Amino acid sequence: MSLKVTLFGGTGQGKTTYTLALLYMMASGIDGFRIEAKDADTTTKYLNPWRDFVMAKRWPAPTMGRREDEFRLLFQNEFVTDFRWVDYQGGAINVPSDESEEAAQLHADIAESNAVMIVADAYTIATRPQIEAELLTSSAYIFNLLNNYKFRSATAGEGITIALVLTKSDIVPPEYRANDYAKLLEKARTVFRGVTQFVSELRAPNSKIAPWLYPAAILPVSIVGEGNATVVNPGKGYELPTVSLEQSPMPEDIHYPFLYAIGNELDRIALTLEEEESELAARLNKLNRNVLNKILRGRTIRELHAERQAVAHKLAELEPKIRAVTSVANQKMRALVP
Amino acid sequence: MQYETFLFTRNLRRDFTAFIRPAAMTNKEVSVIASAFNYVNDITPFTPEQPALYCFPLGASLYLLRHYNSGRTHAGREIPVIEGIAIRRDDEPQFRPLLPAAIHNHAALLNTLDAEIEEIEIHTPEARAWTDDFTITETPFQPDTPEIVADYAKHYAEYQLVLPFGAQGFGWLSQVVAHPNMPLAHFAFGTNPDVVGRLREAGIDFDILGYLNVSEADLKQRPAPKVVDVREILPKAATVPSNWPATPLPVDPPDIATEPDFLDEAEVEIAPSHSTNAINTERERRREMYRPRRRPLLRVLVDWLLGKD
Repeated sequence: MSLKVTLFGGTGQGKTTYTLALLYMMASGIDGFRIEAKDADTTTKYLNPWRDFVMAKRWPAPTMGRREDEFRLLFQNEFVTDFRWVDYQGGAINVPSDESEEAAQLHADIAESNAVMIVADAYTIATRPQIEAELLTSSAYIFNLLNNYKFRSATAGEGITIALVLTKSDIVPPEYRANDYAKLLEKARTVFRGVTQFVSELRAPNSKIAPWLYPAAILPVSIVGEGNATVVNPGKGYELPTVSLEQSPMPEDIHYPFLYAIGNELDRIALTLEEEESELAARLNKLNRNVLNKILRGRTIRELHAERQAVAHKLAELEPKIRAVTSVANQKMRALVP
Repeated sequence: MQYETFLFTRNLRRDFTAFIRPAAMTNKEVSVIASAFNYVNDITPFTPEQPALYCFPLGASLYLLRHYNSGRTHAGREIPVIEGIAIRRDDEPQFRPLLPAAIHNHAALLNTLDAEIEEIEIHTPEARAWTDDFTITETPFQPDTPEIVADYAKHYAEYQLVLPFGAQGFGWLSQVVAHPNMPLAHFAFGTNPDVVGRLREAGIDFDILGYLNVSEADLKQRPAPKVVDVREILPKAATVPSNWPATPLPVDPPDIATEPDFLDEAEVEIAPSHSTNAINTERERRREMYRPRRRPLLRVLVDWLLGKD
């Protein structure tokens, strides 16, 4: 079981910096959770740019191409799940799939992903006119891709977990931070109205898709922490804001969106296993109906029973892991559609 | 002999892309270059005057590239440029004696931007003819050249040459590639092991490496002896397969942990269906719906007699 989590977002929104912060903080452990890379070189490749970021106050270079690495999540040193983490240059969202390998791979990644983490620059959302914020965060492109490969596709019934991560929340103007970022969240929901609307429509009585198939939540995070960075140039037009890191970064709340994505997908796996168990139970019930069946089809009954026990065993092992992950994630994540 | 040009960078409107590329270059090959150079986190040591220099085969072409800080920024971060020329692999025997001149004239030869950077669109220019402008009569001799540099041609098959990145190392690089006994050298001068490793995954095996954190020339044993491509020796044309490796990530079977008892008995609060905990809520709802109801004793007896459980 290896979950695939794809980071999604326009260029300069903070995907790579978020990745570096998350992997660094969780390499040592947060709230009992720890991430290990499948090999030591992978860890080194992520730690080096993070070290430059912390020590030299230099932002990670703009991402070129695509990276996919394998990790495992542990809780109190017990294995929870494997997962694959995908990061790529944000511009791949805006490019037709026949124009770049990254764009083609992105389309494939979305189709295969169990969860997507949409990374968007909170400062851009807060300070730019809505339509500019939509284009700079690539929200319309993101919705277009999700629509094509998930929401309206043949596999719409499988669902996907959506976590909207608002980076750079430490530098948004004070009015957007007030009341627990109420104004920022409201504007973010508007900027990403395609996704918000889709999730909202699922609750309609005539919706053909169950709303729980698309758990969606949002959270402002900060890679650098309150007061550690300043805006040097707010940016204009295509130019994104330039932010200077003044003091050592102290990431805030960054692990919650990730645990939210993982937790919901573990829940989805458990739900599938429960469906499987119910189906096996139903078949067993049918076969057990009369004595003749029990004699003639005893072997089948035994096999089904063993299969059902195996599924129940998997569920029993999975349940505490799910609770561990979701109980932490749900401390902070807010529903995308309240 | 002809060559084509290559330019990979970004501008305000367009994220990193090959604005200029050879006609035969595929999207996958562009992606190989992009993903490899992604491992250079700090581009500031590399300038147009002293860029990182690379020479390696990829797909149907041999690329001679320079990599440097453009001086432009995106969200406060320096934007790199990777640009240069592509020679058809079949033309490598002709190009081999011209390589020293190409390195020497990198500023003119490898400067491929043919429009304003913010106006440029993706295109494939016409191939250019090699001219005498890029010829030098001899490589400047450096009196302080270490023996292992001067003698590298003898050890080429078994060793990589590691040089310090800088003016002195550049001079040594020029001398080595000009050596009459050297095949066409593949080099990454101004690089790091992660870039080299990523390109190795694409089948690129460098002869000469130039690192910033190295102060002296050194020899490094190759993992396996270098096999010289027959086209470097024989000019006969051959079809070149793409170097893109097909290596899907292997997925290990999960370790199913033994029953963990690391949680207390507290239950997770069941949230409303519109909350963030929707899937868990659905699972709870189904458990409730399908929970077996208690039946009266008489009913249990009747069901048992009829064979209904």
